[in-house]
Amino acid sequence: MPTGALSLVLHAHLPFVRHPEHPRFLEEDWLFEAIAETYIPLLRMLDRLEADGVPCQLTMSITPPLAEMLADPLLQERASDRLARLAELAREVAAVHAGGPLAAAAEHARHELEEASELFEGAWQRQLLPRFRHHLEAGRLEVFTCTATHGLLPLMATDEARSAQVEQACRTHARHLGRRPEGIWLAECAWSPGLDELLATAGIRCFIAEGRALTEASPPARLGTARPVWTPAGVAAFGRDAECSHQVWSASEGYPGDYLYREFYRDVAWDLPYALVRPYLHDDGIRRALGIKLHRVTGPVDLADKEPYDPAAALARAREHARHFVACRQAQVRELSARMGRTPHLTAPFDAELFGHWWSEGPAFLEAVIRELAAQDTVALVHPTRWLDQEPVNQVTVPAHSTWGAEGTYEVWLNDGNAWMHRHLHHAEERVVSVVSRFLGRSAQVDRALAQACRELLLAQSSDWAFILTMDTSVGYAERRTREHIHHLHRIADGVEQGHIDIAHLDERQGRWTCFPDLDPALWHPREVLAYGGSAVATAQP
Amino acid sequence: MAPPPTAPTVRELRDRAATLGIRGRWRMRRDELLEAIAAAQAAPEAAAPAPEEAPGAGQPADGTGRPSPPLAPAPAPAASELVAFPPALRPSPAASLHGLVPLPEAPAGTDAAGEAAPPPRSDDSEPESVFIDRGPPLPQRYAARRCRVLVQSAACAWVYWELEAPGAGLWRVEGRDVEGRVLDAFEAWDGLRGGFLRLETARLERVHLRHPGLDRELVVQVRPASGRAFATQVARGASELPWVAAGSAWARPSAEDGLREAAPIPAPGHAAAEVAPRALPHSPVRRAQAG
Repeated sequence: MPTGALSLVLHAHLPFVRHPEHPRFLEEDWLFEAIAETYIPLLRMLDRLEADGVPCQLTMSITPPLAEMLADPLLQERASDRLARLAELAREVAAVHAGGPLAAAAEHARHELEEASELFEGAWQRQLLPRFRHHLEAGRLEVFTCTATHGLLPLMATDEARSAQVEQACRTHARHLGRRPEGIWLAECAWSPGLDELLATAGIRCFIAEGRALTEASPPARLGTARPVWTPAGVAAFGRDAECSHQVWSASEGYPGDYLYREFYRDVAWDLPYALVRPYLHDDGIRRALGIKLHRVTGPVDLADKEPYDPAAALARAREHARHFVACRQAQVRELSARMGRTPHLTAPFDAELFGHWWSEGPAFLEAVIRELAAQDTVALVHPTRWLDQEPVNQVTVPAHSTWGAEGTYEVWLNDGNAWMHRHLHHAEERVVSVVSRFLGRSAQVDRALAQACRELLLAQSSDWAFILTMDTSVGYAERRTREHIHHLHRIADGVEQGHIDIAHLDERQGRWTCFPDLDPALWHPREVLAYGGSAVATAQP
Repeated sequence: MAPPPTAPTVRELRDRAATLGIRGRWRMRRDELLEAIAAAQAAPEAAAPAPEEAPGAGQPADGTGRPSPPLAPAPAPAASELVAFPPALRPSPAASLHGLVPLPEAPAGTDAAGEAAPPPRSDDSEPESVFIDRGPPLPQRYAARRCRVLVQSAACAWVYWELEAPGAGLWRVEGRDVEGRVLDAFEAWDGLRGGFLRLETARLERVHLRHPGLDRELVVQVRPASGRAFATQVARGASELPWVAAGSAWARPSAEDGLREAAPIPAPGHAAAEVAPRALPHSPVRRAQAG
């Protein structure tokens, strides 16, 4: 009987980015990078664990937009092409550095990219979701969903919009993975009391919450984040354990900052002669990171002074860190168990893209952690729903408003740089509810237009756009996507109301934004939606 | 003093700042933008823009906060580290605008404020930036007449409104506590339609919105109209978040819905503080009945 349990939860998400109107599109690279650096390495890790018969209960959330992109033939083809091109560049890089101080790093990059490319194009036939599903069905993986487009529920204005985000997510999950989800990763871990009723209605049994949602609950969770709690509606909230997070996320003390690990910011795109990298850049010719990196963190030095990366030393360090992580969890559950008189459960949620993309050695660390856990009996690695089956008696409380953003508030998604969005998004929500309630079922053509209006709304509601504006990264793209979807939503709604639907326009929009082919506009119909609450918005109308 | 008519708009300054790779430009005022741009242009070579990052990128937050690269962020390559591009290899300006970042459809090059999009590049210099298409214009006004409050944190709330202002004058927004004391206030011209109240949201009882051209003010009741306080906490302070909109059709299920009975919330330390989950009674108030 283990002393305690641990759930490792990896949140895999990217906004829906697909641009068939262009042969290559910069923001599509987000997906290709994640496939090459995170999803393929994680699947290879699960395959190895399966081959070696290592017990594993890993948890992931695969968001609906990510699932739609992974299943999209156009993006699959582009990802395959991108992988093949990077493998080709890696071969050139290896040739350039053969015999030099960067030879080992270059050879490692070549090997990783060639293998990823061959697997993706060959054995896996560009299909990653069936691979995840394989591990899901074998019990190695539990897969949560998220809101349909990573919409931030508490900042939405209508029950209909919140409800549709959850129900559409469950349907998309079932379409890709063969079953409705039992758990959800609320976008940005944004929780507001009342949402549990909505989740329970959708058949969701549990969600991941920021730690303070439990420690500042009403009444406070007596055991902090060391056990999940039940909300009044009977949904379990698993609070993020600060100690687990700190060891991985901390900029100053976290494992990924180790000097032996690969440096993220120094990339061959800036190191190699322009003539060599130019064919691998986008059409505008601007140097951007290509994902091949040959230096290690080294220390607090300028990028120019980074030392060569040693893959073997980094791998050894990742295994050391894994042993340390597991030893810390053992000590933690022993202490908690003695104090609580109950079996503690720790929740360690992370962005999946941390493992591989940001932290190159992340998948190796994760695999070593799972193997270490399998080799001892103090801490059991469990799926959250499995844990609830085993330990159903927990405190009932109302978790506090919270997100996993800075200070646990909505500041990242509601500030001077992005507050303008919410006014337009709220109006878009209400416009959709209005036209659906008045026109749904009038004709097949009207229903198709309504479905597209709903799709535009979902795409506009992605929390990524507000996040990007705050982080000041791809600001123009985020602003454009928000404006574009709201603009076309109103155009379609105008057509429905005026009895003049522009079929060519609908064809063009549907052809471009192919997600949610099963979308049912009835999800936005007021008669289908219960008044749940869960909002941080108040309104007055004169 | 207002800038002369020929001065660049803030949007144009931000676009220029973007091309120079200046971070934090969304938080800068006009004078700060001008200063930052001047400083960047005074450098021997414009600093290289930071690497493109996927959503999720950001500064590490010591175990809290949204995903961030846990590595200590290194600076972008200094100009001196960049490889000089042979002129012959520089792509044509047409290439820089073709495919990757499309030109807007006419007349979408003009945004809602009537500001023209920057012209395409006409020189053959080394590529440094691309034209940013910010998308089609959005409506300046909506037919809805209302005021909304979004609580951001324990210390801040965003207020926006959709009301017509008859005549000249500024909108005045006040956040008040239960005794009517003004906690924070701001004034805004008609085109702005929104702003932040910096106050202790735990004490925020209602938000008043008025305009000299209107004979009455609009009040958003932030505390639940029923008086049933939902004591929750945002950030580090206790606050009561808005639940019910005065005069609107929104309502939370009340105690009569049976939810409390279905899963009672015991007092802290109560012996029966832990219970097994129960099936949710699917009987929350339907919207149709709530209005």
